[in-house]
Amino acid sequence: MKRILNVHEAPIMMFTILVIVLFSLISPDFFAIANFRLILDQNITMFIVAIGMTMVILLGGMDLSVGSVLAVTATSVGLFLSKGISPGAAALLGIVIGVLCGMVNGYFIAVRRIPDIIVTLATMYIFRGVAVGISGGTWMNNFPEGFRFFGQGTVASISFPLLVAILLIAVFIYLLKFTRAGRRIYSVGGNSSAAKLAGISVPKTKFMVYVLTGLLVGIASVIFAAKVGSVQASTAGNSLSFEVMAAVLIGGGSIFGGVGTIAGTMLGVLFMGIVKNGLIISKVSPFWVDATTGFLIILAIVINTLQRARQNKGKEGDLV
Amino acid sequence: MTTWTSRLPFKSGTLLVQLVLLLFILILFSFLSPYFLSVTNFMNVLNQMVEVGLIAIPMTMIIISGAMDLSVGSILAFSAVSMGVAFERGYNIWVCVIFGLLAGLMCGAINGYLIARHRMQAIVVTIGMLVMLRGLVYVVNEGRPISGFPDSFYFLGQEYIAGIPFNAIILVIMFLIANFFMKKTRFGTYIYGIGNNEEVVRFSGISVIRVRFILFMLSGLFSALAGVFLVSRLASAEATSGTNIELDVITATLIGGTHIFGGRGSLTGTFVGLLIIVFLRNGLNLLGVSVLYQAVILGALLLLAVANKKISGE
Repeated sequence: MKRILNVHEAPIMMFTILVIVLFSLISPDFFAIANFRLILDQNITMFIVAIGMTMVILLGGMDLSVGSVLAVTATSVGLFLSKGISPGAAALLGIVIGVLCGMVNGYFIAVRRIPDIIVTLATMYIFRGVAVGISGGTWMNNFPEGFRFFGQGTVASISFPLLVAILLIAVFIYLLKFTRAGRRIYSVGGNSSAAKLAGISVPKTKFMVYVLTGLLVGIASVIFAAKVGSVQASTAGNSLSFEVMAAVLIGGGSIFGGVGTIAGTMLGVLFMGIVKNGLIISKVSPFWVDATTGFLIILAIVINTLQRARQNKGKEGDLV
Repeated sequence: MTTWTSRLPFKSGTLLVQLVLLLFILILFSFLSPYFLSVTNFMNVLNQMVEVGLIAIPMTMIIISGAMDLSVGSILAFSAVSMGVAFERGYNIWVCVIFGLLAGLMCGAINGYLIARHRMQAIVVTIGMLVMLRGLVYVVNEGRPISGFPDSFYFLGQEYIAGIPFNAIILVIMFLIANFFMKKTRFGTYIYGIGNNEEVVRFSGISVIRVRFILFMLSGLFSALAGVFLVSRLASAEATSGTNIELDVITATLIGGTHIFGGRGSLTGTFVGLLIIVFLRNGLNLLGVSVLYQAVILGALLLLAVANKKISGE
């Protein structure tokens, strides 16, 4: 029993089970296979973006611009498709644009050393404006049949986006756990001066993380565009950054950097998805969903700080 | 803007650069738009800058102390809407104003309690408040605008005294009082001290918790005040009011020379930064540039303001 409790993801697992029980009691429609499939299906974008956000938060940073990057990428994919570029090439170009956005963030944060919160706050508005600019303010729809495969297609009776998400999760879990690049992220986030003395290039690591985040958001936005079927540049992914951030923090990531796992984050995303779905199924006003997200962010930081305080209790001095 | 500024022979170079930038914007828009250079337009700008300006005062103090408050826009909307809802219940309008201010103060106190007392990361807590309060605003308000306030209330935001907007006069007075507090009182010195070295301030026997707590309470109060003025100026309390106002406020503060890592900055600089922002927005509005493109320009300006400071190695 004690071993189970010592697993890093134990608190979030307990929370998730608690919430599932709670909503099952409130609404009879909640506890059904079809509903769980729906929850998974609706949160694919969040799952993929959350991988990137986990790495950013592991560095002790924060990326507020992911929602706007999603908007830029999704609208430009729409634009490419309307220009008659083939679906595969359009998707690829979209991912490249995501990477470019990540490079812009990475350049200012890693090379110019501006605090990430300021950079991503600024790029959040800049990318959003660019997205609206290139879309001309209209809805992007009329995606061709071939493109819809990326969001709605199935491979061996499993939905294609889910497969992509599972693949990406597996790759990045491996990357973070077993490769040097991944361990570098942990060490830079845990103690960047020590990492620097150990010969790790902090700017390079940061730049890589933001580029990877851009890549992941690019992939997520292709799936998003293909799944939703219509994209409006001014609203697409509006509250995505906040929700994903909440998911990472709930999943055990520490805002101070260096602590957190992708598995925990995925549970966090699932938790957020379940709460949202449950609230809607229990026929609570949809306005409450946003309020709940904010409340969860605060709850997450409270838990985060408590954990940190407990860990530092035995140490000398006032570290917290 | 990046390289030639450091070569200027002035000691207090930053303020001069800001004034030059302001002058540049004024001259540029005077050429671009025939409507820009007129007393009516300038008074109009003064009238419109009050909300951003009011919030910029505590924001400057908070950034100097080494933290940041992103929840100001949502607090503004929350107090505006609570005021409106209280008014709809039939209370006297001034009672409602006090109610709105208290709502803002309460939000600020929650921020302050979590950040100061429990040392949680200011950015995360205030982002949480930003999302939560904006959601609550829609819950309270159900997304519809509230209007029909009595005429005596509109005095706050629409009346002119000797040709100058009443709310702009209030703003200038607030800036003067705040500047006095920052420059001449112990409280101001503590704020600079916390921004430079929190440990030393604490070991000097000063309650860092209390100073931080007061700062976030002030931020809540001033955001609420901005909400009251906004409702009075626009004659309606809307759930969307104050969205993205934090971009304007933070950009004004950072252009005004306040250092992002805290410890340095002044309210005089923020005031000039504020003028730069509002005249820029007004000029772009007159030229018919969409609000979203304005956000792009402001975002770029924000990056430039911070990047510039880092390079000159201040």
